[in-house]
Amino acid sequence: MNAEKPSYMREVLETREMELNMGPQHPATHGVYRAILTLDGERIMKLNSVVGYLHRGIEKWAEYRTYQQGVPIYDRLDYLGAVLNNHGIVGAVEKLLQLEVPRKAEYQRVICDELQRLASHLMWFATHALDIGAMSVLFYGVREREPIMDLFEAHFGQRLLPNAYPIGGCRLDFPKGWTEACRKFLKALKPRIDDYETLLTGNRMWRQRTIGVGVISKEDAIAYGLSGPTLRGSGVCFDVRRSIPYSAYPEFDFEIPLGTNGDVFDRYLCRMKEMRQSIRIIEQALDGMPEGDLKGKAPKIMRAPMGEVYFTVEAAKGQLGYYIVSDGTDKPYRLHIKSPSFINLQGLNRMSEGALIADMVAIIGSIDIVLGEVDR
Amino acid sequence: MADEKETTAAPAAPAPPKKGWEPTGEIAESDASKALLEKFAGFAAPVKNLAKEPTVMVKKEKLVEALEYLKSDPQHLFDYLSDMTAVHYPDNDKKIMTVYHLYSTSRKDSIRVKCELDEGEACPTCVGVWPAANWMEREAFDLMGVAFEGHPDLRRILMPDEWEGHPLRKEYPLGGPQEEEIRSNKYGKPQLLPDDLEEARKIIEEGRNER
Amino acid sequence: MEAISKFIRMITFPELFKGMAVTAKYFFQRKVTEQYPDQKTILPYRTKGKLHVDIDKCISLCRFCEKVCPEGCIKVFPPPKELAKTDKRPVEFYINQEHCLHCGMCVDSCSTGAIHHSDEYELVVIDFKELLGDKETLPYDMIKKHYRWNYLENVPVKIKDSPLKEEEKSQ
Ligand code: SF4
Ligand code: SF4
Repeated sequence: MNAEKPSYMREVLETREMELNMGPQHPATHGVYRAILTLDGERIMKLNSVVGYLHRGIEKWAEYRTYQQGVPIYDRLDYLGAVLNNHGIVGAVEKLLQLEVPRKAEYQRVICDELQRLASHLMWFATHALDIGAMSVLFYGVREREPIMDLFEAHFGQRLLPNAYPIGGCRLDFPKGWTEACRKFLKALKPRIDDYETLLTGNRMWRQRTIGVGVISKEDAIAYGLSGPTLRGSGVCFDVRRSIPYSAYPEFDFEIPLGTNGDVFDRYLCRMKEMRQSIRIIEQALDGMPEGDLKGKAPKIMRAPMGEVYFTVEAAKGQLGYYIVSDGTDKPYRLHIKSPSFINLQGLNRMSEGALIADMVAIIGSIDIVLGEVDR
Repeated sequence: MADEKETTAAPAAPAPPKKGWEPTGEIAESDASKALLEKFAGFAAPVKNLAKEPTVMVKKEKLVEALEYLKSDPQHLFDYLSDMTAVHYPDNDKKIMTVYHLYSTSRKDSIRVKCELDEGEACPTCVGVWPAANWMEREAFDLMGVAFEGHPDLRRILMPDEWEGHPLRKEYPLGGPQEEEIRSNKYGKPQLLPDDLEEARKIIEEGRNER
Repeated sequence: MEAISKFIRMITFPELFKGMAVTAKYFFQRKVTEQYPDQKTILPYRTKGKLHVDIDKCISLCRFCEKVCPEGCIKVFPPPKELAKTDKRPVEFYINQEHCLHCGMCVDSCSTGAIHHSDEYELVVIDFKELLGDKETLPYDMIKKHYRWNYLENVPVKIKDSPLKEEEKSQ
């Protein structure tokens, strides 16, 4: 750094690095996350993340609950994408017990998953824009999320943490009028996403704040284990829905949007495009909803044979994995959660090298962390 | 190795069945696992799996070499470390097991590599292979007490720095060091109330008064 | 020519006005906010609110709800064996709503439908003990609720989003 400075500065002014503490209670960190920044002027030399303020010991807790009892707790990992967390654990236990899930239940799961992904992305969109300074977008994002929450309330009975799926299938069919309400919402949402893109995508200030900021190359992104839109923004085509297919996803036609530069703007575009793809998937699933059984055949007392499984789903933040070790009882012997936010946050070190402090906020926003999932 | 730990007995709480932990199911094979077994003959052994996920147990000495091989060999290209964790088996011979889930973004294939360790033995770090392993290993160290040899920054990550003990180990109580205190607050969890109604009523009255 | 139009674009900020047009468009639409304490919404049929128990329906010896609850909120005291032959109703029933996740697993597991959610969602209390429901407080306004619920089950789902309603009007 020294060499870049003009010679007179080197001689006259003595400069030294400064340590700046950001967080844990900082509005732009989306929760209780603390970053200790080593600064050279305005530039970040090194970033030291401190996490764990929200650690609730969910992995330990899980060892003392049966497989069924555990399900509602994993909602609380990524509380903006609760249904997706549910799908992960339910799918993992189904894989462990080799349960067959009825096709209709899989379709219902896909619909609810994608609605949740929309809700999560809308919330990200709202807060990310607010971080960078686009205030009105916050209201639009939250407003759009509201009908999704209403749909969840009508179907699951809860808005945010619905305990969506039981092991082996789904609980109830969609209530009367739900499908129509859902279709109507999707129809209204499509032009509105265009509206929001006019607010941001073409906006000169938005572009200046995001293009070329927080760049992470393709190779680095893979090496740092990033996943979800954060990885796809760098141009790596890895989407669990396509790469390690689960549930009914192979039956649907959708695209995986990819970025090119791996900066904040690309990650933003990826998520916006992903919302459109989610709408496409929901529409296809609603059209092709099969008839049949919903509940499936799940035993009341679930005893898994000794062994281990690893099951991953594409959550809103990235690849969410559950690694279950079973010891023959009805409780997991060890349950490990691969949380996408935790791993993605690690990549922040790489992305923020040499960035300005003001850009830090944009970068944190662009990787879309939820601290409940980081700290588990 | 896989057959070594069959001789052991009894894992621990919660609700221990009286036999040692050993995976059941069948041995699943893929090209990568076959190649790995061939290349590291004597150091690697196949492991049974329930869901037909190819799994290989690699000895500690060759672990990093094997991971490096899986990552860089043009036939395998497991360039993505999906997950890394550790499991505690207090009554097995080898008490700690580290587990690596690898994925290949180009070949769309996955494999699981495991490594057994003795109590207190350090695991070789794979931060050099994937930088992603940095926090995962810190987490394993924090919650499970596995040391990682050569790790650049081995500190606690989720628990506070001054915390004592490693919460995910089997001997660690669910309630933590203050377990007794939490259990005695019976009003909070009615399920912990005694089956005798009069006693239960008394505890609830007391609990109500406390609050 | 291109340079000029580029220059004009640079100084006039067209994208800013486009954004403002979007804002202006929503300015004339109906409000979506609800003034909560004054204006209460009718919740859908499946709402998982505060738990209620129909003590007369409960057969108490099964205690499925107690076993399945992940948070240990429920404790059922079945009657002594001699009594149980004739009257299976529980002698005491505790639910600690303070710890309840409103997950609905107890409701799923109950075979008689004795335990069920109500649509009460205002759980703010001054004293914690108000949230510990027992035999006296748990069966609350049962008939009224059932009546309303049965009515609600046949009401199709509506999402409260004003622009949607406008769309309906225009159709
Ligand atoms: S409420 Fe239902 S599940 Fe619970 S004890 Fe009564 S009958 Fe059994
Ligand atoms: S709703 Fe869930 S947490 Fe609440 S009492 Fe029932 S099972 Fe327990």
